[in-house]
Amino acid sequence: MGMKSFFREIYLRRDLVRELVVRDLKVRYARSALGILWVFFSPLLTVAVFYLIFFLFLKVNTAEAPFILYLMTAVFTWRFFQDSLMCSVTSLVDNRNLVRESNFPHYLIPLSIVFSNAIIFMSSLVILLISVFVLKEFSVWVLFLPLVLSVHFIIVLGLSIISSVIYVRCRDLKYVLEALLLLLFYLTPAFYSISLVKNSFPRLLFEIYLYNPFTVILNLYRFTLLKGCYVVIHEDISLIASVLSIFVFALFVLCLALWYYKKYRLKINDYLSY
Amino acid sequence: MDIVIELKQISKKYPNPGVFDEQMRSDLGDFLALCDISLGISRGDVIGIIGRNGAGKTTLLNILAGVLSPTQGQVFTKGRVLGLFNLGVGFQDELTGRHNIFLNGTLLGATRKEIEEKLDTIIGFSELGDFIDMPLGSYSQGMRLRLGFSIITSLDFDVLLLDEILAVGDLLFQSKCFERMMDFRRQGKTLVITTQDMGLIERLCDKVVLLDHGRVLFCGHAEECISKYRALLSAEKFFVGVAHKKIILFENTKKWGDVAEWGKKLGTKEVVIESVEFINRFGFKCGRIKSGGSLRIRSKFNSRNSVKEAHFGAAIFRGDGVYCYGPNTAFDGHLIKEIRVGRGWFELRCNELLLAPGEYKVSVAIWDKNESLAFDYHSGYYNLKVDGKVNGVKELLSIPASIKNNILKKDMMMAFNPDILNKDKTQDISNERVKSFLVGLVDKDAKSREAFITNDPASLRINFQGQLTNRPNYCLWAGFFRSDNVFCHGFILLFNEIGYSELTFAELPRLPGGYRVAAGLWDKEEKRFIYFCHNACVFRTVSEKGDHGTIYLKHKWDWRLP
Repeated sequence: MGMKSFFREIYLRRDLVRELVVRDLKVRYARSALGILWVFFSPLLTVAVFYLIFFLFLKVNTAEAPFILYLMTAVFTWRFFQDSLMCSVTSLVDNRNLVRESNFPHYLIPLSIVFSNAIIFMSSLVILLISVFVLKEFSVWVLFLPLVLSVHFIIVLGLSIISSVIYVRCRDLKYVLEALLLLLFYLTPAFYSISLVKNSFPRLLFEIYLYNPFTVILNLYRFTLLKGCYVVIHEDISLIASVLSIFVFALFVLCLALWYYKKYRLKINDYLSY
Repeated sequence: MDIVIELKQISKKYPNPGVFDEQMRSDLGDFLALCDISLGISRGDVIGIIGRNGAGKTTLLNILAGVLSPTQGQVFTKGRVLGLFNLGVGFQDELTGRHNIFLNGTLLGATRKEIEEKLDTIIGFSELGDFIDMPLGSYSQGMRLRLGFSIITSLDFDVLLLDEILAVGDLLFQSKCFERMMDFRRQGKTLVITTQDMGLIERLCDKVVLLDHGRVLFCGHAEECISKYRALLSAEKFFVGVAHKKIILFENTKKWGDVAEWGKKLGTKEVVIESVEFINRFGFKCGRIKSGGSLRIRSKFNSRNSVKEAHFGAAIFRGDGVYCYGPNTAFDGHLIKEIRVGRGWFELRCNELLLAPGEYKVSVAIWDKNESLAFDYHSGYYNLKVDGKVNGVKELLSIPASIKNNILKKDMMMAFNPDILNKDKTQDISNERVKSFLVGLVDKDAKSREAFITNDPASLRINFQGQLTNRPNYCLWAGFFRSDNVFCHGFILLFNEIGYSELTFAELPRLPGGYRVAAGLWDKEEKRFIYFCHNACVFRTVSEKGDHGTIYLKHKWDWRLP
């Protein structure tokens, strides 16, 4: 399946995607007292916990930016990634009654989940933008934020599609992913400064660490939102290399997802039937 | 004809899901849900698919809808195919009915605009009223059907697939659905439905496909197909899967009575049998019954203690201990919950006593439910005499038979007393003038069989070829034996020119066990067999009931409890 038909299919079925996204949001916050307000509270609570532990107890500090902003960029973006992926993994199996109703493309379901998580992410991004406005000032680089966002979206979408299709056949994936995501979270400079790890790795490992897509995407977020973040490690990271690598990675993930889906498309419903 | 859907030799295989190892999977075998199905559906066809549960109907519909893809073969579809499968599919319990209309509609390929336009029609047809704004989780099955059917039939489609869904709707809604389907038929839309409601199929469908075990058994007009389906239903008991496809049949049963215990009264005597009477066809008490006549064995009992789950039994033995027949109420599926204190009776009624003339012993008993403990058991206690014309050979049974191509020689029976039928003489006699002598049992379809179910019709065929002069001197003889060499009964036939005779039994009332047929040529003048074969034909009978003995006598039970 080509990239073109992928996007065309999404466009043709946009009403369905919209219904699925609305359903996802409705079901998620149904019967809770605060309802949709959890979109704001939930990421704030997470940030509060990290802030409490790392800033107040462990006295971690960062030279790049105020610690709270540094933490928020990491936690919000990571939550988008992790929630999308963990919901998508089981999505085809969870929605087997929808999938078996009609022969629409399966990837619309992980797509709708990524969309609904993106909507939640956007609202937390609003909090972040306000915080940056209050605590720091914007730079012109913030104009590149939509680009970073869309690249991030593509990566999350690609990985979600792949994992949801694999999960149909191999139900162990969920637990593997849980552990893997935890490890990845600690491997990205979420609540510590990059300069902290600089000297504890050999040079090559440090390069890999710096250019792994999850670190790069986080760095790009920080670069666009918190200008001057990289004064400390400016000599270590090449902005052009980061941007190039993340674009290549995003393209690779999406192609891989489409190729993998095309390969197993016909078998998914069989596995969902019993 | 404008073909909308075409299936070309499609097969669908479900791998055994529990097994990951490829090697083991091939051993255990995948489940072949559909096998080699070719079907063309033209525009405007209304097609019914019938078959038993697990025959592959839903899988076929899923393939038509494109939800499942065939393992082999090709599917061509033209236009928009919509399917309404199991209820609840495509619905989200947390959302309201209204929201589910949008979700389900877009899922089926409609746009939001299209649904908004038809929203009122959908809600109106479903007659859900205020429930439309309640979460779907609160809906009953019938309400889900109403919603699902309303949505799918309001959308534009070329082919509509409906899978055994209408049964949940109430009668009013069913007739509404039916009307709507008739509308579609008139509009020239294509419908494919599966249902167990043969009336619906008959009224609606032009063409019906009968599926069985994943194959198309028949495809044609509704009436013919339905009658074939009914025949299929009555033909065998149905189990899904091959491993369970067995009917429990008794292959053997008690063949001898316990002679040592005869004349004794055994049991716990909680219930006592006080008297046993044989009643003949005129309703009189007597000790002699005509062979082939009616017999009632009535036992009066007195219950001293109240006993639970008892059953009654009676048995007839020949004087030497050969078990003729022993039915009981448990074998016949009757349940006697309790016998309270007091007097009562039970009675075994046989309309046709197919026993050969002779002296017999009768046992009667009242057992507990497992037949392990008798409340009272009179073993071989009573004498019964069966009257009739005695032949030269001592027979056990007297089973009626009709004869084709021949004449039964009754007048010769008196003179017929061959010693070759004795147990120890097992030597066959051959004759160079007899070229071939074939004996076989066939069922009602003239198929040769080695196993019969008790009371199946059967015919014994004797085919003789050879050069024998002075034919009136010879006659054919065929006799049935139990596998333990107890002679049951024999027939003497006139030796005819054709060399072919057929003995037909309307019923073969033999109880489970092995039997054989011996046959020979009897020379009237020399009074000996010139040709004899002990094992001319061997067969078995099996039964669903566990009745003891040799012959199955049609009977009824009657009792009066205190």
